[in-house]
Amino acid sequence: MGPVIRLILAIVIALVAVPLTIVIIASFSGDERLIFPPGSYSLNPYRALLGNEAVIEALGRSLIIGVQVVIMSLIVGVPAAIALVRHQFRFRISIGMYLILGVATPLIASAFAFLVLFTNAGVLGALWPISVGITVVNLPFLLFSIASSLASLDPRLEEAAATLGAEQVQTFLFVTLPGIMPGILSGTIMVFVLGISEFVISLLLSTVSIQTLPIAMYASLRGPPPPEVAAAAGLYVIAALVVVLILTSLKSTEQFFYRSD
Amino acid sequence: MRNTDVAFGWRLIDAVIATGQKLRLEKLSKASPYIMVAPAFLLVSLLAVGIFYLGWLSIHSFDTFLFEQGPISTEQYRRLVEPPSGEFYLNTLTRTLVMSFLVTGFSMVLGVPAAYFIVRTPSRLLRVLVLVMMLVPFLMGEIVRTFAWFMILANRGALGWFLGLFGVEDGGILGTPFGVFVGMLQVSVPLVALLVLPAIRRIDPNLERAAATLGASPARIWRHVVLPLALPGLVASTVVVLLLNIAEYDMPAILGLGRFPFVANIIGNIYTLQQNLYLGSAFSLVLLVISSLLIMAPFALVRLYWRYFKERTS
Repeated sequence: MGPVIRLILAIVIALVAVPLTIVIIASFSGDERLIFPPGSYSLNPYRALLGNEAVIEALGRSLIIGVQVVIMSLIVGVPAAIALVRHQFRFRISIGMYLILGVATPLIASAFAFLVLFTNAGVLGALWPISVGITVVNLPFLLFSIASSLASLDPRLEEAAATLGAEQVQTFLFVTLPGIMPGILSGTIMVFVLGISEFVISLLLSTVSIQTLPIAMYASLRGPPPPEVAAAAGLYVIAALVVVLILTSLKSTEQFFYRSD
Repeated sequence: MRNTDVAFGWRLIDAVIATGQKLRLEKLSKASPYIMVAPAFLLVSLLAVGIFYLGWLSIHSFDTFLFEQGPISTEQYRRLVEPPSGEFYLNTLTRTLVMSFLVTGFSMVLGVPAAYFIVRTPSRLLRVLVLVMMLVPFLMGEIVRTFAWFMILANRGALGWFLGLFGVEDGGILGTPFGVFVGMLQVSVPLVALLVLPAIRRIDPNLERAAATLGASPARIWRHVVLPLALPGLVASTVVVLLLNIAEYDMPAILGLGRFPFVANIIGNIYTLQQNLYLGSAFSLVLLVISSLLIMAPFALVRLYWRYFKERTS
């Protein structure tokens, strides 16, 4: 591998890793004002986070949204992905393309579309419209994840089960479902993390009384950021790192991005 | 204990199957794929309906004093292009597109070699490690990435401290387009790397070895072997990253200190400050049309390229 590629790789790694490190360091700052490097280290930002009721409530709302997004995505996503990969039917390709409309539309346009729709329906001010919007936009990630898992599951296994006398339900429960579990799990985790950190849709669909955590952080970033923002950011970074570790241990990430076909 | 559990499970499944047979579910089996995609289809249709509704609102006039919808008119679109406000909106659109193209171009330059490294490195540990690093920015969320870069670029931030070690004065990148540019790279570059990965994987390493044996320099191998073979993947990931970048919100708002707003910021302001859903719909739709054109453009370009390529080789 040439020196140019090594140099570029070093730049890319720095571009990705330096911000993570800075967030983690800042989240242990002992100062009143966030500066770098911190004058002293402490757990104060995390204590301030726990003491700030508004932020804790915002965190709670983000977690609720994350759970709602996961439930909705699984209910609509798992059967859809299986149908798209395993069944032959008319308009299969068109329907597949239609289901990823959420990633093909610029996020702000999707957010505005949901805004006018939900304003007209008079449901703005609840959490579930935000969850619906986030689900539609991130559904493709779950679909891709399950589809790549399904594609690497040998269909002959299912046929064999059927030959041996298994009913459709049995085949699904004992062969298909365990086979695609890694894909479902990694897709679910991805959709959850994207849900709790989603910004633009929450910005347009949330009111002051139902601010989510990213929106609360955004509001406090317009001035000198208070220490609890650093703690919240630190939590997000740790969550992202944990999730990535789970994803790699599931092996389906490698399958997902690095198919061995 | 275990045996009874299993027995119970089997009985449950038998019951499910029996119920299914009673309900004559097998008659539905021809329709079953449609039933399976229906919930997802309906959910996504909310977005489609919302987009149609955007279009409907955008062709109406809006009385900003009475807050009432007026008759059908081209008022909103005229406000986006005609004086006095048109210049501001068009400038915002141009800035968004120029910055997005710049960021995407740079991301290709940095991301494609990174993907190439991931594919060709002999060490599995290194591959997984780099792969993991590429995923993290994407999962951190927009606001946390912005906060991180704020801590780097701000007055008394990490960059100022680092430059200070060498006695260099911090140039004050916060509030400049460059700050926004660097911040946007953090998610674009890894995304490019992840997206072009499959395309590069499909390239047979023997082709590169053959080219090298025949005396081609690394630069020539890239120009004549790697890049042409990865072209479809490169084009697809360019489009995806462009789409992501033209909707950017946080970086211009925070790292640009709001001095260089993107379309998303202005659409947000139209809603929060003016409460004008009609003008916001029109601007959203303009962005949507541009992004649709961006999605379709590569197909035309690739076709042109191959025609050119065939003419040269035949």
